[in-house]
Amino acid sequence: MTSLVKRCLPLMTLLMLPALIAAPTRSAAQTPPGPAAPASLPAASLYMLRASWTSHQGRTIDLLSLRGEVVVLAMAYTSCTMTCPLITREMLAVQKALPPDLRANVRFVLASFDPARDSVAVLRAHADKMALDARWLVLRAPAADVRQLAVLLGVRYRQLPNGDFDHSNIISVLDGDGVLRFQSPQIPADRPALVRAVTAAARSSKR
Amino acid sequence: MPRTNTPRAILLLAALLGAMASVVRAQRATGALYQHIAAGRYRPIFAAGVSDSGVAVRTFLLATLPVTNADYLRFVTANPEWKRSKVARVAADSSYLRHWSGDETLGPTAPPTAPVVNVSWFAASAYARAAGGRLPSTAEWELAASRFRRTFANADVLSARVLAWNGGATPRTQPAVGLGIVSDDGVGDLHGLVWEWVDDFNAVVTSGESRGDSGPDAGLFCAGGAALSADPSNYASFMRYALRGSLRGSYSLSTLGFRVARDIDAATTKRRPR
Repeated sequence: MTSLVKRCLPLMTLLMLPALIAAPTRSAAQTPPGPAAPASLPAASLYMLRASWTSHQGRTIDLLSLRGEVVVLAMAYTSCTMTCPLITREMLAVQKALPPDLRANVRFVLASFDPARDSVAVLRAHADKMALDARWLVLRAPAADVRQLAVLLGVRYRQLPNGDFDHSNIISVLDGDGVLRFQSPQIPADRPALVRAVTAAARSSKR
Repeated sequence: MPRTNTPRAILLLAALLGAMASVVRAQRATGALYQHIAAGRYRPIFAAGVSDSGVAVRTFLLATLPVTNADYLRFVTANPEWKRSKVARVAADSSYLRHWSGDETLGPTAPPTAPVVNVSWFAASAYARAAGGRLPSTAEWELAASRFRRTFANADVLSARVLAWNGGATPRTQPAVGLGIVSDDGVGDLHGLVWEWVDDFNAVVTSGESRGDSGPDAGLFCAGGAALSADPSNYASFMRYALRGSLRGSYSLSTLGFRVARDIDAATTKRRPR
């Protein structure tokens, strides 16, 4: 009996192996899955979750690096001919309407739904075409990071078979800690409300 | 010599079968086995911009069973940032793991073999990544959940079962995984146990306020598709659609769990004869 057990043991171990290694024991190395940001961040901060964004200038952007600035953020894609240009124009109008002393403290961010088609070069061309100044970032990221940001913002989207996207027209305002302060759900936006929200957030983060 | 060998062979066989049974039990407990889900087409109930033949789904792997409390406890132990007391509020609301007794204690309302519930989309996604996989897409999940021809020759019987479950009361304590109906592909508990997160739950692009028409609100959404077409005959999938449309990523619900999916790695596919 003992010899039988001995003989079977390697086989049994082998059979048990999938069950033993089944449950994940550590995080995937490349994208830390969980909140691992500085403890000083508020628990409601969007910057608690990591993602790897690249800007239209080809720079790697950690959204956490935007800490301290008020961020006006929308998701769009550059080949969109319907509401996306309207979203960008709305944000440009907000930028123009801000009190001049606050402009340097407000960042405008467009994050692309479309990593397949929105390469850095395409994003740069789009920034040029829309005349976006140095306060703007047009970002791309792997599809999983795009999904994560959309979920954080409550943005709904889906890709259509022709490559285009159906998507929410939400414009969000984040305070200096990356906490969501205001969302404009639709286009055309309530621009006075949006400007008020950005101004208030910028004033309190300046203090 | 052969005479003494025969009982030994039987013993060996019995030991082998015993070992295999314990593996099956263990895998029932961890939900770690994966089944091949052959490529197919998923026809969404709201099919704006989708051709009549539906969305193409590539062959993928889907966990045989939902993730259990025991599985999730191992994940939380290895990744303490997902403990109930540590998790960032932005990633999981205050209901997160509330059926557990403590940070690393399951307790009476969280049997180890029951599916884990009260987990947010962020938490489920993190678990799936740590397991070397991902959450299934809506199309993948629905395709897998539609394959019950062997068990239910008549699709209406399955529909009736699923609807009866939808209408039933939520148990205070979830029963164990692996006891429910099994799909043709060998996937268990797709219907009748818990709702499940999908990666693109937020692909439901309709406003919450849609009575009669189910079209996206023109101001809220940029939707370039053609007129929406619905298949009202599949009421159960409509309910799943409605649930997904109502979720936010941080929501943690007592009836919502998840299972892991995986891509078929390129090397395996290549080795197959053409």
